[in-house]
Amino acid sequence: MKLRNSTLTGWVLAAIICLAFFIPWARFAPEQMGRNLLDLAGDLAGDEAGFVESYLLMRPAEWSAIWHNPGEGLSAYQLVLLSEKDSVSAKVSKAWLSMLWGDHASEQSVKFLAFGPLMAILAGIALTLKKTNAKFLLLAAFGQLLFYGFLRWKLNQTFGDRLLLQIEFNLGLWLTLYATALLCLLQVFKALQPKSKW
Amino acid sequence: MAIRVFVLGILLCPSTYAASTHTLAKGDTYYSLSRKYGVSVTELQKANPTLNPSALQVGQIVQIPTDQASAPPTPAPTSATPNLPAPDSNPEPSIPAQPEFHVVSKGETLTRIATLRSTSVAELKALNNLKSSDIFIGQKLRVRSSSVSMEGNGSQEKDPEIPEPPAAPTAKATPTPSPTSTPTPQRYIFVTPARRQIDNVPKTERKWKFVVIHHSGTSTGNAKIFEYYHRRVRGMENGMAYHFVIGNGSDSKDGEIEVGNRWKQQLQGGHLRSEEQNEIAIGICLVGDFNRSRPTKKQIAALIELTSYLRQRQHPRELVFMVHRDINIRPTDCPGRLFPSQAMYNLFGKRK
Repeated sequence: MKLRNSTLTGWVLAAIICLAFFIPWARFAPEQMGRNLLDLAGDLAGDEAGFVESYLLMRPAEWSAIWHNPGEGLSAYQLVLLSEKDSVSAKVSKAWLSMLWGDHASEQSVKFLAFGPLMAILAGIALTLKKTNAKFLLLAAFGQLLFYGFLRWKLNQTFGDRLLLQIEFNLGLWLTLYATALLCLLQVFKALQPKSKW
Repeated sequence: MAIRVFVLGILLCPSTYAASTHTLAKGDTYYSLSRKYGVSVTELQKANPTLNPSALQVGQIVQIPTDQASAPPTPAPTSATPNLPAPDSNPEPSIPAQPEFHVVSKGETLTRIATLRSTSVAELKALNNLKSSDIFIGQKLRVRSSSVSMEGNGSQEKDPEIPEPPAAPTAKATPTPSPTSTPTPQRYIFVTPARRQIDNVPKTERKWKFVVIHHSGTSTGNAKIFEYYHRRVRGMENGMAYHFVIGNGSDSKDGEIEVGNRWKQQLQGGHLRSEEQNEIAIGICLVGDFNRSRPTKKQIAALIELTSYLRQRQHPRELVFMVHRDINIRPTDCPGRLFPSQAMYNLFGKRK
C-alpha cells in the first residue's frame, strides 16, 4: 500500500500530536518567585501582543521559556490525570484548569485536552481512507481549527494569570498547537483538491 | 595590636560596626565586602585605588566608603533611622541586608539552586567560599545577603530558621496629612495619577485590616455612576460603597484608579454585609462582570499596584488581601468565577 505524501504528512503530524500529549506542556517556574510586584504589574500592563503574536506565533518570552527547561513540567496526560488528586503537581494542574476555565471550573473540564490526540487520529484516518468525502475532511479540519483557536484564545486571555501563578508553557503545548494547525491546513488543502488527485 | 582592638571593637559593639576600614580576613573578597557593608564593588575599588582586587591579602586594610558603611547589616533602630535614603532617591524600597540561606536537599546541584534562587553558580560559590561545585545534603548555603525587594511576591519561599526581616524603611517624605508614612514613589503606572488623592486623607486614618476585592457585576461603570446608584437608588448615606474603583475602559480608562469619598474621608465601607467588617475593610471594585469575562490585564496590574501601595502605606500593620466571597458572612460569588483569585492569593498570601 503506497501512502500519498499528504497522507504520510498527516500521520506524521498526528503522531507528533499524540507524542506531544506526553511531553511537558506547562512548568511551574520557581525562578519567577519573589519578583517585584510592580515589575509584574508593569509586564501585565505592557503586554500589547497583536493578533499575529497572540494567535499565530508566540510572545518572545514564551519562545525563550521553551529553551529554558524543555523537559521540565507536566504533560497534558499528567494535567488530565492529576487534576483529581491532591499533590503539588496537582496544584499546577488545577492552576492550569483555573486558567482555562476560571477558579470554579469542574475538574472534568481539563479532559478537553485529550481531544487533541483523538482528533489527530481521526484526521489521520480521514486522510488515509479513499472513500472519505471532502465534507468529512472539512468537518475534521473545522474541529481542529476550533481546538486550536479555543486553546489560543483562552491562553491569551490567561496570560496574566500565568504570570501571577508563575506558570510557563513548554514544548508539548506548542508542538500540539502547531501540528494541529498544520493538520487542519492539510485537510483543507486535500478537501479542496479534485478527488482524482487524492 | 591596634588592629586587634579595632576588630574586637567591631565584634563587641554593633553601633561601631559602621567602620570606615576593614581588615581582610581569609576568604574576604570585594564581593563579600560589598555584601557585608552594602556598598558596591565599584565603590570599593574607587575607595581603594592602590589595592588590586584580584590579589587581596589577609591583613590588608580596605577602606569602606563612609557614607554607605553606616548602614550595618542588622541595623539598630536608632542608628539606622538617620541613614535612611532620601524619599525620592530610593527607587526601590528595600529591606536592609539580611542573609538568606538554602538548605541543600537530595538531588540538588549548584546550578539548580542558582536557578531556583535567581542567581548564578559563580555568585553562590563566591558567597559560600566554595572551591568546587561539590555540595552535600543538609549543607546550608548562603544564597543572597542583600536587599530583598519589599514588594516581592508573597509566595516567596522562606527558610524557617531565618528570622523575619526587620521593618522596611518606610521613608518619611514631605509631611502629609496622613499619620501613616507615605510609601516611596516607585514605578507605579496606575497609582501615580491617583496618588495625591490616596494620600490626601484626614489625620485620623482608620486602622484597616483587609483589602476586599469586588466586581461591579456590570460590563460598564465608573465611580460616578456607582456613587449615583448607591446614594440615590440604594439610599446609602455615604454614597459609593467602595473606597476605590478600577475601570475597564468603558466609562473610565482601562486600569484607571478612582478614589471614592469613603477613602477620602476615611469612612467605613458599605461593601460587606457585616458592619464590623466594613469598619476595617477597604473595598476595591473592579468594573466588569467576571462571571462572563475576565478582568483586563490593566485592571489586574492596577489592582496589584493599588494593593501594594496601600499595604506599603500602612506598613508595618498588616493588610490582608481577600476577595469578597471569602470574607462575606453571606454566600456570594463576587468577584466572579473568572477573577483570578488563586493567582492573587498566590501573590499577596491567603489568610488561613
